[in-house]
Amino acid sequence: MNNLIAAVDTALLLGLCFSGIAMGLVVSLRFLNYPDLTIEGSVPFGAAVSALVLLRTGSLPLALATGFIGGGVAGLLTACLHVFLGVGKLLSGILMISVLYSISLHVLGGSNLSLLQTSGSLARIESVDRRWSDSVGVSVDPLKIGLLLLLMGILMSLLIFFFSTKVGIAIRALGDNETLLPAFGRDPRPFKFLALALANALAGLAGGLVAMNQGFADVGMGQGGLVLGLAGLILGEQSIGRILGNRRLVVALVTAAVFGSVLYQAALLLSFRIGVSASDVKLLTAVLVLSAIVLARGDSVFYRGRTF
Amino acid sequence: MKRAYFYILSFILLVSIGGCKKSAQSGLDTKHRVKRVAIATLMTHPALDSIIANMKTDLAEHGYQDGETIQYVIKNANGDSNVAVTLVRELELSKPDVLVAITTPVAQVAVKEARSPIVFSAVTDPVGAGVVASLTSPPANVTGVSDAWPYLAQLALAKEIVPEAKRLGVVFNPGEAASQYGIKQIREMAPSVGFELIEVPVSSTEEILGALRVRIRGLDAVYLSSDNTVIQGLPAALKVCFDNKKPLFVGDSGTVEKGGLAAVSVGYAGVGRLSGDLVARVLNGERGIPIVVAKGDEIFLNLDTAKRLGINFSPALRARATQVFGQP
Repeated sequence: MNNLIAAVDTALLLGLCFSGIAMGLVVSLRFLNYPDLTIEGSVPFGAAVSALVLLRTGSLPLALATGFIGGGVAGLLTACLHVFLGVGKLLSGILMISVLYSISLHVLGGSNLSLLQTSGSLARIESVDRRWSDSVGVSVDPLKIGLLLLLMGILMSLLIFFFSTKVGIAIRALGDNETLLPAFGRDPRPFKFLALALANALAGLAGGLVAMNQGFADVGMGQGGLVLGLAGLILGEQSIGRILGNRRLVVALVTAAVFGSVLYQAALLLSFRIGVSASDVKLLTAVLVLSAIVLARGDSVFYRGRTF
Repeated sequence: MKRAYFYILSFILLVSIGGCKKSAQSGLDTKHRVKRVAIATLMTHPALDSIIANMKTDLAEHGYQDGETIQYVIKNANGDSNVAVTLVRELELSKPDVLVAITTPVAQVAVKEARSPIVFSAVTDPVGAGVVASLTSPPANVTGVSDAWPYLAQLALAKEIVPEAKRLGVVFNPGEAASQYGIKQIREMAPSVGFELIEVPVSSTEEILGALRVRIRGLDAVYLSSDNTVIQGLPAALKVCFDNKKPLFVGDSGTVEKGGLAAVSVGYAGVGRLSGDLVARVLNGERGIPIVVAKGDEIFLNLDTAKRLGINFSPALRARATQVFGQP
C-alpha cells in the first residue's frame, strides 16, 4: 500500500512539474505545426532565472512568473531568427539551444545553483508536506501536489479559452495551412511570435517547477526534455485524448498534455521498479513515442497534416 | 490498428499493477540484523565505480559482509539528473539504514527527498552545492566525503617537473560544477606557483582538439581540469600535446594510466574507503559526523609519456610516487 501511495505521489508530483513542456508542445507542435526545438534550452533557462529570483527575493510566485517570462523571451528570439532572418525552423531552434546554454551558465553563475538552503514560501510548503510524510510514513506531498493541480488547472483553462478566441483560432489555422492567413490578407508573423513565445513560456515555467522540486537548477536539465514532453503528450493523446478527442480537440490536447505527463512519470517509475536500468530508459521512451506515432498515423485527429 | 495502441496501454497498466505488488513482496530483506545500504549514483564512470567497489571492501573489513550482514541496492541515473528524484524516492521507499548519494546532483536530491541517514560521496564543494551549510556541523542525518582536487599540489607538481614552463593552458568545461569550482581555485593559485594561466574553455569533447590546437603554440604546458567532458576528451588532448611536445598534466590516476604525464590525486579508491568508514560509523548509530575532505597526496607518473615528450622525472620524485605507469 505504501508503495502504491509513494508511486502515485511521485508520478503526480513530477508529472505535474514536467507537464508545462507537454503543454508547450501542444502549442508549438500541434497547433502551430512548428517543430520547435528551443524547448530543450528554454527549460534550463526558465529554471535558471526562476532559481535566481527565488534565491534573491524568496518569492515563489515571482520566481515562477520570471521562469514563464524568461521562456517566453527565448521563444520570441527563436521566432525572430525564423521570421526576420529566414533561418529554418529546426536550425533556429538548434541555434537558440546553444545561445540559451551560454546565457543559462551566466544566470546560474556556474553550472549548478542550489536551492536547498532557501527560506520563504517554498520552505514553508515543504515543511507542511514533511509533517504529512512523517505522519503517513512514506514521503507524500499533498500540499505541493494540490498547489500544482491548482496552477495547472488555471493554465489549462486559460489555454483552452485562448485557443477558442479569434487569435487562438488564427494560430491553429496557420498551423493547418500556412497560406490561409495571407490569403485572407492577414500577416501571419505576429501569430508565430505569439505561439512560440507561449510554447516556450510554458516550458520555462516547467523548468522553474522542476528546479524547485529537485532542489537545484542545472545547466544540463534540458537534456532529453523535449522527448520527455513528447512522450507525455503522446501517451496522453492515446489515452484520455482519444476519449475526449471527438468532441473538442483543444480540450482533448491540453488535457492530454497534463494527464500524459503524469502517466509517463508513472511508466518511468514502473520501469525502474521492474528493474529496467536507467541506461535503457531513453531507448524505451523513444520506442514508445515511435510506436505511438506509427500505430496511430492516419487514424488520429491529432496527427492530421502534422510533421510528427 | 486503431485499437492496437489501446491494448499496449492496457498492457502497461496491467504490468504496473503487477509490478507494484511484486515489488511489495520482493523488497529488501527485512530481518533487522541485516543492514541495508542503498546507493544512488549519477552515472557509471571508472572513478565512481571505484568508489562503490572500495566502499564495499572497506565495509567488509568493518565486518559487514555483502549478502550476509549487509545488503546493497545500487541505482544509477545514467547521467540524467531528471530521473535522480525518482531514483532516490524509490530507494528511500525501502527505508535503508544508510543512503549513499554519489555525485553533486544526486546528493542535492538526496538531502531534499530522503529522511534516512545520508552519506554523500564525490561531492567537490558540499557547501557551495547547498548539501550542507557547514563542513564541521552538518545536520544530524547528513555526512559525507568531499573530493575537491588538490589543485595547489597539482600545480606545484607541474612546476617541479617542468620548472621552466610559464604559460599553463587549462582545459575545462564551464558547464560542470566541479570545473567551475576548480577554475576558481586555479585562478587564485596559479600565480603563486609561478604559472601564467591561459584558460581554454570547451563545451563538448569534440571541441578539445580544435581549441587546443589553436592555442598550443602559446603554451608551455597543458593541464586538464576535473570534469567528465574534458577527461573523456583525453585522447584528443594527448594527440595535440605529443605533436607539439608539450607536457600534459592531469588530476587522477586513471587518466595518468591512459597517457597523462603526471598527477597528484585524491585517489578514488581512497574516497571509497573514507565513504565506507563513514557508512560503518552511521550504521553503528553515530550521527552528526563532520564532512571528511579527501586528502590528495598520491602521486602518479607515466614513463611512456615522459619518454615521448623527452622529459625525465627526478629519482626523488619517482621515489615519492604512489604508482608509476609504463616501461622505464
